[in-house]
Amino acid sequence: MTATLERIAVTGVGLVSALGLDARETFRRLMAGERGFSQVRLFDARDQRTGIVGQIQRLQVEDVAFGPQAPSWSRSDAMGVLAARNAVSQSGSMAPGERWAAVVGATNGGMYEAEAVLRSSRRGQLADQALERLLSYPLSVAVRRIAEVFPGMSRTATVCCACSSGAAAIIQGATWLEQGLVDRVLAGGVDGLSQLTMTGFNALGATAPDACRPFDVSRAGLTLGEGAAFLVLETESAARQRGATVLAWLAGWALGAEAHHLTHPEPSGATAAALMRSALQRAGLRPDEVDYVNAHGTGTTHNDAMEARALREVFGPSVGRVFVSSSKGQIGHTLGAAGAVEAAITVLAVSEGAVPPTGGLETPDPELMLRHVLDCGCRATVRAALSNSFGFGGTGSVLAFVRSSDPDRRPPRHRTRPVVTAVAAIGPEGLDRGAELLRYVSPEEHPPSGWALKDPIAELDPARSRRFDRAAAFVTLGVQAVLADAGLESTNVGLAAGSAFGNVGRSIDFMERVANKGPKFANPAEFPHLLPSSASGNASIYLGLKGPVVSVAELDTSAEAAVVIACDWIRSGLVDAVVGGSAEPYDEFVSSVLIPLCGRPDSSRRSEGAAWLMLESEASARSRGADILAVVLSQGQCLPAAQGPLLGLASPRDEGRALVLCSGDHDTCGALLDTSAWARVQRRSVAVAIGTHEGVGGFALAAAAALTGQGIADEVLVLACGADQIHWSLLGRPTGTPVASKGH
Amino acid sequence: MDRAALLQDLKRLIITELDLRDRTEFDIVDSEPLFGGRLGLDSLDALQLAMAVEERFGVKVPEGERARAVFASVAAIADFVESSKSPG
Repeated sequence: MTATLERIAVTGVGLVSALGLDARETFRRLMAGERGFSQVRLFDARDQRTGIVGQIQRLQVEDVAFGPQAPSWSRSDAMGVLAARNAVSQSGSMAPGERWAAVVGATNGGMYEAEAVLRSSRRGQLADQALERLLSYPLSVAVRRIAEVFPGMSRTATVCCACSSGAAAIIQGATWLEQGLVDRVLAGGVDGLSQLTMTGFNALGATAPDACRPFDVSRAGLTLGEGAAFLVLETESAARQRGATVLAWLAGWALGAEAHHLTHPEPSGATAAALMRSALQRAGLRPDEVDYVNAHGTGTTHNDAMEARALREVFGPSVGRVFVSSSKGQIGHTLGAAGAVEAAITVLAVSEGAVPPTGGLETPDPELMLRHVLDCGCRATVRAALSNSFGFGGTGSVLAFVRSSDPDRRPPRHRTRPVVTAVAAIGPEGLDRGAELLRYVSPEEHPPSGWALKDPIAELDPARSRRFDRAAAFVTLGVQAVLADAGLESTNVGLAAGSAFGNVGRSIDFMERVANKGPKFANPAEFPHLLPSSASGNASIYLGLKGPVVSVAELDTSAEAAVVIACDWIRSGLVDAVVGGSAEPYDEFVSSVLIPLCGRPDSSRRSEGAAWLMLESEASARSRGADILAVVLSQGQCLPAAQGPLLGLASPRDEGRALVLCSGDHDTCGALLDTSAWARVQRRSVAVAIGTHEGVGGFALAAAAALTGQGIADEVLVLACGADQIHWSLLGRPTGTPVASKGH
Repeated sequence: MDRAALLQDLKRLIITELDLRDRTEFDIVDSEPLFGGRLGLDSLDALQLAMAVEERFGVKVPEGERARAVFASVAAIADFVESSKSPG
């Protein structure tokens, strides 16, 4: 069944950068050709390759922060809130009864504030003041601050895929609108500077010794920046009904991975070209209808050459006609925010008919053969524009914006729902697959407790898993297992991998070394493994996954959030197969410091584990005759304060053939269920013997699919009441699966 | 440190620093090309190795093209370390 979904309108743009604290100021100064670079003032970088950055000079966190946690707000938090407010003031404030969502793409979070604490954390007990600085450390905090600013926000998410995070967040927001889950979405990115990223990029030699010069014949690297940006998105009918001004249409998008190398782009630009074509196709655009490309354009030798090659490949003869510029030449590389910051600039280019220049570009590299904009911006009709972002570990994104006066040319798309075709989990006994996962929800069996996990890194091919940590190994082994069990080739498969806190221990090691020996001895090869997206990036390279690849952060509901995102990608036709789940290896700092501080306190034994589900579109699973374990009938999520957490959940068809699996705060789960149509359905928890970690909910989801797959239950409601959000998924036994006899 | 011990030391350094878990020092031939050869090392490894050699031996590795000559093989690195340390 195909349908043309409503167009998605951008009705507000918010932007905070080195060139301004709002969108209007930033864009005016971009067009004037200003460059916002200076020696970094947040920390001393004089003994490093460069200290030149696009720092936001006038940011005063204390002027923005509010509420009981105000003293612990990070610069990233403050940037995010400013940009969010900026976008909403243009779009129009929340109306009573309106459902809103917020999605943030980020890589750094509150690292700048936390790093002083982290690097000395092993030397002894941390003082309360130090601990307070860590409250903003988790990546999922920025979106929580935004939800505090806009009470009545119903759902949120945080995604990380290195330099394309901000764009992935915008794409996620668009899928929620397409499904009618919310009325308006604040989607964008946030990333502040930190010593960790400065030291890391300098150690890699990726930074230009002075300010970056994208596309220039003597370009010598990137310049770091910081910023935040949000787009307010809503459907066309919602915008018209409110009388809101449509700035541009978000007509198309693409998200995918190169599976090539952790830091180097694939020289041919084949994936970048494929992503641009995919975004154009979704938008119903021909290349010659695009008037402007806001490039990734970091200013490194490799990226600019690769991107130019991809542009020539996609645009063919019309490449001489389409304007190309890189905003990084004026505000720097804003990392996790870049995809959103540059999307915001692209929207303004379309709506104002104004193309910003490439700062620092004096002598265009003749080999690139692009149509550049030098010095100042120029006025031009922009019928349609692309915004490109390509990241570390190779996840790239392309967003296609069309001017508001243009007709809709998008082709109709097939509607489909996700099904589960394989499950795997890494628990106390090692890797479990398929029906073996029943042990985690069986009332009779108690899996043995303990740390008897085999060395996961030793299970991998040594040549392809160099410098892998346990997180990367948990992801790789789990994804490898479900790929094999589902009988799928990896090439077109995506990955949404939950991780509550990212790789804290490894980051602490890196920072301690720099603190003891100086930045000159920072290990350049370590740095790319420190991002929250590194584990999933490593897995995608090892396995050759070229679908969208992201990490998802949401404390103890990271697995649930990742599975929702995986399902949303399938529903929106972004990809046909995605692995969703999470990996939570044991980390001493997380257990002893971060959990008591940020998580839900729990007296159970701290453990570790990972759980994965192979999710596919029902259409493609059935057409290839795959064994279907479960159909994802419906899902829901909401912030704890929002109304009607179980809204949209149908009553069980047969109470005797249904089950509920609970995780998280059992009291809240119980209270919700008791007043619902599921009150009398048997409830089970994930086995207590596996201990506690942030990924327990993933075990519940994977085991639920095993229950329906074995015909033990017709429907399983998986309910998680987490620290940040409430999640539920309703899985159904596929027709054709024989019903198992009682006794399980 | 004599030549043989230096070569041994460098090989162990390469294996531990670059996480070559499936190799031992006996796998690495003194004069085989380190980059673009059997070991599968890339420019990221070169950066890390340069830093590790500087740290371990207290020498200053040149940048750019001259670094290529220094890291061509284990023997070349040993030559560089010895010449950096010898007086004059």
